[in-house]
Amino acid sequence: MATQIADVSTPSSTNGTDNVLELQNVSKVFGGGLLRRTTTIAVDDVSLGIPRENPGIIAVAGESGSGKTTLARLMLGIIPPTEGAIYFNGSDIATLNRTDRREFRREVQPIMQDPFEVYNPFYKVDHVLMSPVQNFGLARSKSEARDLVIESLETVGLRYQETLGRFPHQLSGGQRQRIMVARALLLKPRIIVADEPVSMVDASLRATILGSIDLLNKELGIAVIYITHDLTTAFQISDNIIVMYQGSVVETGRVEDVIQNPQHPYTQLLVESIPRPNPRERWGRDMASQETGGDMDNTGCRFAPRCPYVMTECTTEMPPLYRVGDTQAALCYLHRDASLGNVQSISDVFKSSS
Amino acid sequence: MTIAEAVTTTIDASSDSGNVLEVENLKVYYDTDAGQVKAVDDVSFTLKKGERMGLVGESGSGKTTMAMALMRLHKPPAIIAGGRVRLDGVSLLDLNEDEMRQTRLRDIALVPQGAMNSLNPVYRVRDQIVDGIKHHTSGDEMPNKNMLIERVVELLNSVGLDANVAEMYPHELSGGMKQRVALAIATSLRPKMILADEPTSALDVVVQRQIMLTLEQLQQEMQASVLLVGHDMGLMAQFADVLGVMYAGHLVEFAPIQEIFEEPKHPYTKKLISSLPDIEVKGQFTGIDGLPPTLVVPPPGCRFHPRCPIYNDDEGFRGEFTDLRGGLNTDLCTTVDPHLNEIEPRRWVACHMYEGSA
Repeated sequence: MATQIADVSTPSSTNGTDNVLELQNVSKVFGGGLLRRTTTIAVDDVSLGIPRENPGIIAVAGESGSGKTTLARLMLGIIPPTEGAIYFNGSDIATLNRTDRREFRREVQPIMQDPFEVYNPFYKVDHVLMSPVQNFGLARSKSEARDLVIESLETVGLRYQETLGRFPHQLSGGQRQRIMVARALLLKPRIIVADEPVSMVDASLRATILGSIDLLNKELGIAVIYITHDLTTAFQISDNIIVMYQGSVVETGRVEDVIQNPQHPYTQLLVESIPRPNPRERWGRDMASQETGGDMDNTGCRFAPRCPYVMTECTTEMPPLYRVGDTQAALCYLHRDASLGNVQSISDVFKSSS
Repeated sequence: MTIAEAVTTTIDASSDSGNVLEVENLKVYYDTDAGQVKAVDDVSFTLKKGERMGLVGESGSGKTTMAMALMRLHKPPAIIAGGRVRLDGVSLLDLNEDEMRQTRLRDIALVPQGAMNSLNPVYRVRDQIVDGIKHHTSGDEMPNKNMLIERVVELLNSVGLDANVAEMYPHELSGGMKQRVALAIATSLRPKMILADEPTSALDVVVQRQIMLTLEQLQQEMQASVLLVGHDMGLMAQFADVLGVMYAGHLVEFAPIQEIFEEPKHPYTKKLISSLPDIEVKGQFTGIDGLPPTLVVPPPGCRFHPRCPIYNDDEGFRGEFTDLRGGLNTDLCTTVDPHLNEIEPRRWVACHMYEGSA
């Protein structure tokens, strides 16, 4: 279409047709302009493809300020990249025409963190479900629209008798969040970008909501980008994971490899800090290397100021993403010698979910 | 020496029992247009000197309401409708307002949820710490200015902050640093008891670990007791010595942390533990069906029975409960509210399955 993928000098896996969504060397810088020192690199040079077939669930994990939400907003087309490009079905989303843009908006659906903020308290919840049906012309009649809504509610385990006709405040947080999943589902999207969908709900409900998200992927083949700060739920539901730190993808690959055998010092610190639900496995008392902060002028690895293994080159030049196994890569010089080569696109080390 | 004293006797179980906190049949109710909400209903437990207790429950279970009521910081329309709270032998509910103010911070201190909002944005950190000390110290104990400045530096160092943080304003601090300042304030008068309400809920895991380890270090050094309120069972497993589980306004289980994780007695606790994801085995966490009940009209009998896998005879759940289920008269579940009983030393549970063994 508008953009020729072949013109862009990119690595092997990216020919625009296997992938529904593709990020090519995407960076997002906030602030700056004339005042260079105030810029923040929220996302630094991310390449990633989401395949059309067996897309699986990809977790994007990191602490606040890691850039994970910025990455989500880029994928949703809410903000444009500063550098690089994002392709939807082979076309640069920055140059989509009206019709294609509309299709992109339908095919890539968000599920947001706080389900309460999405709702207008003066409208019944029916509104939030009916409006996409109307906006995208999914049904020919009112009764057909209603049937569609009921079907999607049932898919996420809600009884329509207990949800339709109610106001948002009459529903629990878990119900509201599942309605958001149902809404995303109505549009039969190819990709769902879920930004911390369970961080506001009780543990007892988490499993249920994550279960319904998992179902969307397994039963309907919808790709899910699961943005989270919680490595345990990321481990539970995703196939592959991207760990971010201050805008950089520091480690990525098959979720079992990354979480059970982390290779980047930051991922190691994160995994060690998980409050494991086992009183016999308590946290180490080691308080070293834990202060945040660091030097903004640092041109090397962003984690270097906190890293217990820091070397001279770490502070001057950003390491490449070294392949450390078939399905794992780490952005760290510790793996330079044993590396199996550099990884260009993050999805090159993803395990296929089929 | 156990919580038996507080539950079974009403006679003064004084501080020589080793208990710092004794809560007895505490009731906190809200009067609303829809009726009376029994947010905390008949809760009893005790906490020993230097002990760390966790209190978990779903949102709306009454855990925060109870914690606030212990310091008498509950807000209208909440009222303390009954019960006793003794801190080191002193009955807190019988103190007048002025005495209670003196007791706060000096004897029982709060580490609030999200220190972001608890610090005053227009005062320097130093002034906020000094303010706390001045407000909760009586005339003759008041330290002089130099002593106060020294104390501020000492406190900041004790929570891992540099002395220069004293001159900063809250907006200059990161979330973790603010929570450290909150810890410094809470420990400024070396209280007997620290109450922490989800102190790390807004923080990242790495910072969370730092804050919790700092709290633990301070607590051990002062031999203070801690009540940690939260919903994260993982955090409880890392921090607490004993754990209380609240459901719909009741304390349904209370036990040492390892025992409760390894052999939960109450079906709700068991469900809560199996709803926890871990990073060892995939796909081994399940939700709890149904929703917590409304407290305006709680279910008759045991408040958990509509969601209870034992009452509803969920075959897949029974496991070690098979024998107990056999002896259970399920009519009781729908008619009689079970009492919190000590079925083994330091193992308290409110469930009809154990009625015979109490």
